[in-house]
Amino acid sequence: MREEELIVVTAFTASLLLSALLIWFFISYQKRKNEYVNSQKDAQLREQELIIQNQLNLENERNRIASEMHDDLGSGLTVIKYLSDNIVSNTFDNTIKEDVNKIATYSTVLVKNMSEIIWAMNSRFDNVQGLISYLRRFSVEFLDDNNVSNTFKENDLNYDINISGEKRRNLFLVVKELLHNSVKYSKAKEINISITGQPDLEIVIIEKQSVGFDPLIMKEKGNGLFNIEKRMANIEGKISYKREDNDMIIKIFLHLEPEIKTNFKSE
Amino acid sequence: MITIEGLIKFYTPYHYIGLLALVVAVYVYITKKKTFPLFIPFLFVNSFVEMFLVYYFGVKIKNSLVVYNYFTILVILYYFYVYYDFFKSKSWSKYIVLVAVIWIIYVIYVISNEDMFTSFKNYYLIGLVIISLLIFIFFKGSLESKYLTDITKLPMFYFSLGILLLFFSSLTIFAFPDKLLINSESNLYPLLIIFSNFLLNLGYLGTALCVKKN
Amino acid sequence: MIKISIIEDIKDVAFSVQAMINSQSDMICDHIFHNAEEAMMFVPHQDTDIVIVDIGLPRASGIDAITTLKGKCPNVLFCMFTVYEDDEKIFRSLQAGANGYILKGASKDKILTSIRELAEGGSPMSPTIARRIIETFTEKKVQPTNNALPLTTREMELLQLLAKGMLYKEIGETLSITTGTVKQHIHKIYEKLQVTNKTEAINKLNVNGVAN
Repeated sequence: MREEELIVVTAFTASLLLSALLIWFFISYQKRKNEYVNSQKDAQLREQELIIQNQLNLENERNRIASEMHDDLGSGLTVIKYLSDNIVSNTFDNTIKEDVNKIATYSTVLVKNMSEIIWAMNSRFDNVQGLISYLRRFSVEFLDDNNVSNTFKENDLNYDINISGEKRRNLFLVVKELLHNSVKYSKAKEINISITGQPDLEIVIIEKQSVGFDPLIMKEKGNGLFNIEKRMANIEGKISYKREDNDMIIKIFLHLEPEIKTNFKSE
Repeated sequence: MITIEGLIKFYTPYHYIGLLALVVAVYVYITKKKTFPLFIPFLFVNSFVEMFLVYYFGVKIKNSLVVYNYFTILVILYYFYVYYDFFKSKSWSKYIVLVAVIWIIYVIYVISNEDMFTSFKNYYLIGLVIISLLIFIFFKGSLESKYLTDITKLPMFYFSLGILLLFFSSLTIFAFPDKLLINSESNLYPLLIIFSNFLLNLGYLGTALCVKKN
Repeated sequence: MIKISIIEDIKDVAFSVQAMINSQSDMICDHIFHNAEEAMMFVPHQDTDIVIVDIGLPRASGIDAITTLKGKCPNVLFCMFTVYEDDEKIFRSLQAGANGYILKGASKDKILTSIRELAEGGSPMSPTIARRIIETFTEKKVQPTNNALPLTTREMELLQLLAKGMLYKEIGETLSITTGTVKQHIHKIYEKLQVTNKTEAINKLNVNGVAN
């Protein structure tokens, strides 16, 4: 009897302890596995953060280099302008005056162009507001300087919508080219610009009493028009020309990506 | 003679733990409206059988074995239900039902062919073996799960723990129930069973408390 | 007679501008400095109305020069001389105390007009600068101390219109004032910007427990 009891008790205790031990091992294994998985997740996160940080650093470095370059170039070109002006004021030879004036003009234009590039590169202006105020400033000033009466209207715009630097630059250059052409060829008395933003960006330029497009003039304009079409294609936008009475109506379309607001709920 | 005194003398710690588990489960249900599947009815029956019926039959017909023979069917069926419910999102959960049905058929066979009053039926042990398998699947699944971080936060863990400890510890004895429990004069084996049941009811209590914590 | 000094490191540019100024009957330029250190030493001892400061000076920057000199000669007007209109450095110079800016690439007439406007209390502003200033004043929720004045509604209105890209003429028409008045408002806004900037710096020092 006692032997039997002993056997049973031993078996009982042994199996109980064994099972308890097994479960204990199981729990600690699970804990370790979780820690491992978590540390992996952390490592992955940190790696991603590093990548993002690297990219940011790269971008910052690029911006810094670009900025230094612009400063240097701008500075140098300005000196060229000043020296040119000196020559012009000290010479009586008209041919020299003419040529040197061209040098001065070229350098001024270059500085302006770089200014525009800087504007396009600066992500602070990557929105509708940035584009429109720059367009407005330029158009009104340009048309005023060339004695073309003008109006500039903004309607129904969501100023916060994102527009990339590339799109802004191309749009701006298209408008710039169009206005240059208008002033040079269209002989318009008045140019009205209006911009609407719902849902897509639409810039409408109305040249009042303009001679419009003449095949002859088209040939002269040649490169200009081609460039415009190319730029619009680049940014996946559209441009259309229409004559109404004596007016020339130019419409530019660009699709805007509305911002998707996400609500993040952390688990 | 059924006396309160007799009842009290009859009770061992595991009875009280079982009763406590019932109380906690009811409390949690009333206050937080949360519960383990069919837990309260089961615990109620569990306490009723263990704390009254067994004593009653023991006094009235001097045979409480028959109570256990029928009670264990209920217990195993409840366990089947619990694990079926837990795995019901899995494609193979219907096989649990199938196995349960087979087991029931076997039980019916035993009932119709054997004397329920004299020997401890082995379908309990067989049922426990099957349930242990399901518990093993539960533990393994928890390891592979991407979302589960701490298994000790699940009520199912404590429930399974109780059953597992009961199973492993009392396995030796339930393998030879007639020799060791019924026809033996030794008090040791019943004591061991009481200890195993203590662990089982601790598992029930743990489950109830875990539901409360969540 | 407007008395002007120039701080410019590129000699050709410096002498060009000097010649430009001296060709006018209402202004004179007697002093040229080629770096900020010299200027910081001598300007306080001179009788100058306007100092034209190159934004890209070697070693100590134009901004440093302004910060120092503004303290020593509070009645002198400082004008940044810059290649690009939307340079971040212009904004920082304005915060440090500059009263206006002139573009190096501008025509001779434009440069002279700008100098005269500045002498009369008017300053130019680009849309970018306008937006920066709006941000500065709305972000920081200026504490109402004796020195720091928040912007008047008129001034805020003006800034909004400038930020939109409107030219002075159009703004003048919209607000029923002359372009001269527009520029004078801008001049005042720059002063408030500088005061806000100084106040903030002092507040920061106070917060850090440094005695006034």
